[in-house]
Amino acid sequence: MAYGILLLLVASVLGLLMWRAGIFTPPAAVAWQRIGRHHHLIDDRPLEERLGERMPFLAGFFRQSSIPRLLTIANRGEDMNTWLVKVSVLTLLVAVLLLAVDFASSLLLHVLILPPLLCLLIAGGFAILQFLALQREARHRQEAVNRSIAQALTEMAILTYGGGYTVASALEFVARCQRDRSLLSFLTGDTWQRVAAQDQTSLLLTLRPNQMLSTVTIYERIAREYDLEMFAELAVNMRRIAEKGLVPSDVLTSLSASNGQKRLAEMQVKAEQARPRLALPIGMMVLPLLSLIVFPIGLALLASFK
Amino acid sequence: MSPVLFFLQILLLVALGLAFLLFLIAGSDPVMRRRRLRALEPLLDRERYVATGLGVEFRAWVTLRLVTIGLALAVGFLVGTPVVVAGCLGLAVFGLPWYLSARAAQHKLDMDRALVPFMINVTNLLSQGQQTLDHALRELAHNPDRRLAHALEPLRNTDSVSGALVQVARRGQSPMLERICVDLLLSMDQTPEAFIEQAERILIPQYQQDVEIQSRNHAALAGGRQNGLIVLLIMALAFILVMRIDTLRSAYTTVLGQVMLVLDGAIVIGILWLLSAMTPRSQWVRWDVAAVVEQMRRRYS
Repeated sequence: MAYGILLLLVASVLGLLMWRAGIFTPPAAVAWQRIGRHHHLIDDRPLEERLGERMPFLAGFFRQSSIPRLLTIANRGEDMNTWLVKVSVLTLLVAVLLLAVDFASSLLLHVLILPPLLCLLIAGGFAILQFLALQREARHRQEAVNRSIAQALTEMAILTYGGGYTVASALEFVARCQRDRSLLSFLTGDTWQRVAAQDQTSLLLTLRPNQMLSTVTIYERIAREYDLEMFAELAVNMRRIAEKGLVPSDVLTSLSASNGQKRLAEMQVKAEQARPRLALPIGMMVLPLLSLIVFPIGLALLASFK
Repeated sequence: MSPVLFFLQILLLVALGLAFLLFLIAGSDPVMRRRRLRALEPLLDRERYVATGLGVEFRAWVTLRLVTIGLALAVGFLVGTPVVVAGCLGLAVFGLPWYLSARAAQHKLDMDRALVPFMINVTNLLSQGQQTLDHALRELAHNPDRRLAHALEPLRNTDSVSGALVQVARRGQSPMLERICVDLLLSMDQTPEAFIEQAERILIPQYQQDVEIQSRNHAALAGGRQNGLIVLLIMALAFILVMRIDTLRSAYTTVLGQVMLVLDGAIVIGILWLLSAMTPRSQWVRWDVAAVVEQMRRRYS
């Protein structure tokens, strides 16, 4: 039964690969595609982009799980290929180690502790764990950048008070003065260029060799590309300063106050949400308590049966 | 050669090759190397936080930790049971700082609360007399609130207020104190009138909001710690009860019984970790006050 399912699975994967390679496509259609591609008559965008256009929820999923994007947000100094090689090597290493343990156990105990297929599945799970760790790292960096800006608005207000600093230069100043270098590496590193190189359509113009774009536009694009809420807020407020002639320090002060209020409200919500969840670990206390009492009784019962 | 040995050799070679490849990939990345080195920093920061919260020098705190671990090991080895050794060691390594960090957090919160009146006093001094910010800070440091006395000590006898503020932030080890030091440093080159306006309009309301967030955060953490304490007390009570009954205790004198005790201990530690992970907490930005001084110096040079 298990081998039948496995065979079906392998056949499905092979069929899918052959379909993607165009083996089932009639020669006339292949010829038309070649001509169409040459004359830009057919849609040659990647599959995920086309699917995303038809199903917006898929677009969000592809965006959130794009490895190059996650690597850039997490500020990993590696490209997608290096990451994939590293994960493959680690996965193989885990598989080899598990198989070696299995092999040793078969020699010593004459039984396999784990079926070889399970060893491979566990190793595959390790690859998924690596991806989840990358996602987590990216999320942490996003939070760190948002926090760095949100908690430095007062200082930015002081810096812009006398007109000595613009909002952008004040942001760079505070980024240099924080222990966590996430914001600074974001502002001064090659993060923008890396994303621009991967995504020609949306961020190429954010580079500033020709100084064509305003800081507001750049901040807006950063916010959109990296899901950084605070950059979006800064951009909106900077636009208000520019268009309505408001005083930067006043705008930053009120932004800081509203952010503080938001933080307080978020804390309250989190505390309320955590209350029922905290019952879970308290309830789990039954496990060691029961084990402490039941173990001697179980041992005594076993002895009596023997 | 036996085929089994041959297969084993292949497995070993593949594993060695993969490990070497991994070392090459991971070792060549300077960002990852720096990140690995930085992984120790939060641990040291945490120890410094507890030490300053308890009002002791970092060196004294490290000595206390080492002495406690030594004592725990000595007691464990005197009793002789491996589980007791592991239990004593666990208590010394994790239990003591966990218990004392509650007191440290309370002291820190008290200090943070005292910072708002301190800033109001600075503003009052500036608005009453013809004083500069430097003089006002020195004057207040000579007669400080007792909760701030330890942190403000560098301001008492100093020529350079900027340098002293760096020291104050280092001694206080509190995000809010660091922030105040940064704000004072940034306000140094402004007129007293400008500072008063900023303090009344921007800074003091901000600090009051920060204290409010700190208080709620502290309340949430204290609740989590209380839950942890309840877990520990109930487990300790159950353990004592089981050990007082001879028939139950005898089961734990075997190797299997010892393993079960270790497992129970691990589950309790896991529950405590889960409690701490589920407790909502607010994260604070930590400022590098020395970097602010450096940035200000660069600005004028």
